[in-house]
Amino acid sequence: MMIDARNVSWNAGAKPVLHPSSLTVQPGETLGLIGPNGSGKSTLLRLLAGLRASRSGSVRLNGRDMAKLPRREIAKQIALVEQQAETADLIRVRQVVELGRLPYLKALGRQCGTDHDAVTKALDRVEMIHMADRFWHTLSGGERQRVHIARALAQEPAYLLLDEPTNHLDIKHQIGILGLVKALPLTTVMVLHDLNHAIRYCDRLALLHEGKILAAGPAEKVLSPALIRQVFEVDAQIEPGADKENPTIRFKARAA
Amino acid sequence: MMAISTTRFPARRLIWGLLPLACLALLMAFAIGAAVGETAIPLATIFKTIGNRLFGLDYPLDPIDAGIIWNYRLSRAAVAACVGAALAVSGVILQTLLRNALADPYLLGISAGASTGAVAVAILGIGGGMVSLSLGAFAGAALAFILIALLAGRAGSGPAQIILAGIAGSQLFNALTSLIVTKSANADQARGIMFWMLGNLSGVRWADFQLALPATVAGLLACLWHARALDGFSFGRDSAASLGIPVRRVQLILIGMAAFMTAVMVSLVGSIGFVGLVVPHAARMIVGTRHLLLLPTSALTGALFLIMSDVISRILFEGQVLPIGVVTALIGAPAFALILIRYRKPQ
Repeated sequence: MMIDARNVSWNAGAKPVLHPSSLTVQPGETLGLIGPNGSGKSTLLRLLAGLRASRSGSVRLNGRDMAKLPRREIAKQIALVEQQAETADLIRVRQVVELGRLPYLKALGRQCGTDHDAVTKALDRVEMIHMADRFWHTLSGGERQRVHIARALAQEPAYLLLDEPTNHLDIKHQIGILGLVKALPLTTVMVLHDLNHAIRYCDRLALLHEGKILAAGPAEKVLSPALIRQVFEVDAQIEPGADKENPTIRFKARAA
Repeated sequence: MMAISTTRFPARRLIWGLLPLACLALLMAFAIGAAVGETAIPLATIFKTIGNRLFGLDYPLDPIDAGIIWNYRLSRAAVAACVGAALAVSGVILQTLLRNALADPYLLGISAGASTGAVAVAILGIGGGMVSLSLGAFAGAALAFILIALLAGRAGSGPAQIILAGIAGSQLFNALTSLIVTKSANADQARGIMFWMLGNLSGVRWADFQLALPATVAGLLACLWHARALDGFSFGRDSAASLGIPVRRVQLILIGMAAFMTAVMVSLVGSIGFVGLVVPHAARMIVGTRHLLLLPTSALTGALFLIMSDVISRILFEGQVLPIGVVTALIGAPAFALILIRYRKPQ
């Protein structure tokens, strides 16, 4: 049970966004993809989700080449939460979460009890059940992100992929979302911007720089002051937390 | 807390309540379409004519009245219903798949392309009689859509770019149509410019219905079959793909269907604007965004809208029939403005 990307790469037009890279998502882990803007982390996430066709190599899902799997089969295994996916539709919270049942429904078949239960369970899990009948456009940013996660959970996936799930949220909702994701019994891959979030909530990190994976491994090892200086061009100091559980990274902008 | 969550949006029950009402409304629209005209004919005569023709009844009727009702007015209403339904369904498809509230076959230049294709066959004789008007229209519609999609793609694929590319395409293809029609220099055919650009239902007969009905039914069924997939496009293309929808295939089939339906309708009655824009929005207000309900509702509303627009076009000025596109634009343009305001970017 794993997602295994071997020598995958992607170009935007003629410009390479991701050079051939390999990464394996281990069962049960929370893997963070970090790196500066434009380093290729969102592209790598989309390749892992099977949403982009790699120019080289292959992505294997449980040993099978994803390019040859029907989309519906992938959707039963892998759910994606995009950063701020929006809609102008007049649509209710429960309807959004019900979209997660699409991979299981026939073209004209009706939703059955199993579908209904999965939706209710997912809404319950993200603590949005009391807002099930609210309209999408009345929700706050944090609530919308929770609904997106509930939609992903309704897919009953083995893997949850998230692209900057805390973007534009205030700190309370950032911590709320990450705590929620961390507690899910799923294999999780997320793109994160905040290195302190990455070190706190991820088991393993992959650091990307200019379209290449520069380092991958346990969070404390990847986020060394030397690598941070090389990639993010800032000086950093890592302070172990009082309980040795919550290390904190302090940044200092370098003098020009 | 759980009690709230189990209250379902009662859309299904709503639609079963509305269905008989909708059928009645359609029937009434047909009756009005048959009753109104240069000579008004009482409703009783109309129902008797329908009874004689469809159910083999034997009411004594004035054969001239019966002929006007059956051969001219009812065939006209029936074609109007198909055109309205097909354009409305095309509008739903384009709005959903392009994630653009302003998408419709007319604004995107598909209708203009269909006109050019039909004119090229009818007047220039392209295809040497081997190509039917509808086929020419479809080739024009497909060409127009591809050109406009390419242009929008090069310009950045935003919602504004798609509409702007559509405007450029409409202008180009309308100019080509005018060029072809004017160059043919026959006064009768020159009057055809009005037909191809504003639409005209006079002159349609039951033979036209035999083409319009299958095209509409086929298009609607193909779209209904993909209703769930269309729901999955709520949050965009990547979101749809991650929900297991074969995005490219669905887009190809359904946009192709929209182009096909538009092309058939344009080849029969010219290009009629704003039906595909206004009707889907009205239908969404009635039944919400689920396509399994939205598509039939749009089809029905579109049918009603076009039959009634045709009636208005005949009675607005005594002794003169307006092109139906004038009526739909008079209603559609203000509605377009309202939609523009409604969907402005939240601050």
